[in-house]
Amino acid sequence: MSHRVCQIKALAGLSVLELYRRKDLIVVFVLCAVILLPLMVFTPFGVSGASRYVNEMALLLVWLFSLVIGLGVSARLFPPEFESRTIYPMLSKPVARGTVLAGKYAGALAASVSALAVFYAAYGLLAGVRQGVWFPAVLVQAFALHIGFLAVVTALGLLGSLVLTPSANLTMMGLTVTGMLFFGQRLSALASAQAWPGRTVLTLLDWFGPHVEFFDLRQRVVHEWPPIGWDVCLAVLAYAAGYAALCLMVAAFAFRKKRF
Amino acid sequence: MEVVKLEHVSKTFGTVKAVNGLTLTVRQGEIFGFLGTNGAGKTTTIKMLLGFFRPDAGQVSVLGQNPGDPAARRAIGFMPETAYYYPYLNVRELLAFYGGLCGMAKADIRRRSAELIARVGLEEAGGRLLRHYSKGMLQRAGIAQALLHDPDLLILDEPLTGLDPLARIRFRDLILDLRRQGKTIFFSSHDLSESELICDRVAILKQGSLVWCGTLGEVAGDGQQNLERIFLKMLGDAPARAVAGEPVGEERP
Amino acid sequence: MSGQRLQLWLLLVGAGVAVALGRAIPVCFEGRLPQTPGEDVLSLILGDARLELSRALGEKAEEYFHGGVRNLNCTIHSDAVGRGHEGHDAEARGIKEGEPHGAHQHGDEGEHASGHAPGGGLWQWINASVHEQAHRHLEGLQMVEMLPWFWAACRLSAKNTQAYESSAYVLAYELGKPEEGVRLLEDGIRKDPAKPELDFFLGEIYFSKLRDMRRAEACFVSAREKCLPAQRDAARAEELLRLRLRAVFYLGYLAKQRGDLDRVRLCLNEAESLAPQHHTVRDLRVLLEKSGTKNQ
Repeated sequence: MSHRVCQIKALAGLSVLELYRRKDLIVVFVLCAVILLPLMVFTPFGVSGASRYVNEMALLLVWLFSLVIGLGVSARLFPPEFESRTIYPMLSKPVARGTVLAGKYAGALAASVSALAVFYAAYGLLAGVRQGVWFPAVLVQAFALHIGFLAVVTALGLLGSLVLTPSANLTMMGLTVTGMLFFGQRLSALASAQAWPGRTVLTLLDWFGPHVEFFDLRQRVVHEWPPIGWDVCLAVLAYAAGYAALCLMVAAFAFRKKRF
Repeated sequence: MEVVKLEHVSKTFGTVKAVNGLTLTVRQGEIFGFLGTNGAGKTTTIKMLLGFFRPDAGQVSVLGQNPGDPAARRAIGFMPETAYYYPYLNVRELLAFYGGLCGMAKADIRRRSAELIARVGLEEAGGRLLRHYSKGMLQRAGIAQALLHDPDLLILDEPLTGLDPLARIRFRDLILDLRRQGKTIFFSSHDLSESELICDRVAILKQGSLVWCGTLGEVAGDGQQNLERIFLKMLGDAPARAVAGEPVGEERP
Repeated sequence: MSGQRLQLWLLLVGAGVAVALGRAIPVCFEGRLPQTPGEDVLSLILGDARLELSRALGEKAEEYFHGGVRNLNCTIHSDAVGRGHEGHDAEARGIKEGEPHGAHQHGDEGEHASGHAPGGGLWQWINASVHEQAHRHLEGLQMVEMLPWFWAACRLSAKNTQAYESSAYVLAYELGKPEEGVRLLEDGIRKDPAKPELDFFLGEIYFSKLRDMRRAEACFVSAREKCLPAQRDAARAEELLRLRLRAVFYLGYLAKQRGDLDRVRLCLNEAESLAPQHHTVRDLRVLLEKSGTKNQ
């Protein structure tokens, strides 16, 4: 294993360990169980057999908590290092700043994806038991695209952690991501309905904003639509990789200029 | 051999001149005390030695290399002033993390960690999370991480802060032992009596400028003065001596 | 006693007192408390916003009907009560047992194509590929999937008549549980007695699913009476007029079934006085003609 990979592994391991030691995940799982268990036994109007609403709520919670975990972990990557001054001993080691950034990003992504994998495994088992369909292709695609979503979200959170205060970072990135989830599909239509300067602002947002709605396959999973084409899946994942790389490049520039 | 070399180094933050034309050298195998009041520019100088930022003017070299280059930091161990290390790790995990950053093999990390944990007296607390450590214990963990990769140059920023008397004695023994092994130690401190006990040479900084640098023998002079009195004299006396044309801000031979 | 133990005892006593007061106050001060009896926590917290929330949940159910696709110009039950039977020949089509009463309506019939046109850039292409836009409906027993949202919509606001109607429709016509539909509508009428739609729909279920003509007639009479008050809102007045005409038609039809032709004539007269050109008038005339008697 090369020296740099070894360093990235050490840095990534730190973020993963932090997520599990802080017990955030346990809280999230308990919360999910508390919300979903009553829904699973609920029979509206005394009629049983409805399952899609449980699936939808479960996936909504998975999305919500993955956003919270992804942004939470990535937004916490640097500020505590600056506050507790652990950035000094870290950077005093023979490690390049770019490697620190890459390691931190890999850690945030690995931590978030590991939590996501547990969520999807639980969802797959739950849906399998209730509906008798075990891990259909559309669920596999949904998981893959959700990783793409986390790749973008953690890159944004990481970038924000270098240029914004933690609370401003969480607020701004949270609003951006949820805003794009809700309105991303309609941005171009909204832009064309506006006069200048609103049109320009919305058009720029449409071009450069993180189109996280691309990664949302909940509708297909919940309503049992067929999977999307694998070419589309790969295109969306390529978009995630490109967007995350762009954020990391800006973050690397900001980190190089950062004064401690 | 000159391990640390600063030549006419200056650094300004906004309107504040943190370091002003600083020139000094640290030789191999010596314990170099870097003294000054709060805001004198000690930490800024240390950060430049570690390559955290570049000087506005002048040259900095560590072991003959530019400290901004990560490879140059392979031979540097640094312990910051009161770092609150990752509270969710124990000291073994902390050292494993830093060992990974230094590119050490796992077996080496394990061996060195065990050795250093014993040396800084944290064996019994080795499995406890750092959030349960006292300030002095965190300082000891900091010393361990600085020594982990067996560096040639050890830079310590206020290393005695928070240490109890027993830990100070242990620390002193450790520093002296490292010198015996040929390591170079550069440490900033407010603790003049401790500096007097262990330093071969000291430099006194005032408002970013070097006001005095030399061996303790030179400081003691007639044998009547201790470091504390010299320190007070230097800080209070410097402007007057500068007016009189005496060498100020330059290292004495 | 140690301080800790004393604290524990005080805590337990405090909790006991709180529980006892919670049970005793409503009994001791019945009718004098600020809350209206029967108002639940949701009503108190959400106030008037609950109707909007309820409508949003109703829309969610409609979205489920279309496999999660939004903004399609068709609904499971869009104003079925108000417009469902217009222009229908009662004998031939309108009121056969088990017939959904105009339940699924398209704003633009035959438009079952994609509701979201792809094209117009890469982002739109990806979105159109990822987010399914094809037009599809839940069928039969699959409609059980909509019930949780309808349940929540009804629970949230009794004023959301549409939610009650749609829920009852799914229960009675799609899932074969008319008794559940009846129970729901009766609950809705109890909570919001002013609106005639629920009475009318309840009558339809009694008529077409339970074949209980006596109760059906009582419901249609009730619906007709609730349609009488004058309305300031012209659109609402038009809705009520149409609903009243439909109730009148049903009443006429039931009278004809009993052989009470005088009653049918009264219904016809009422319909003529309300809207002489309306198809209900024609339909009632057809009823009378088929009975071999001409209206004088």
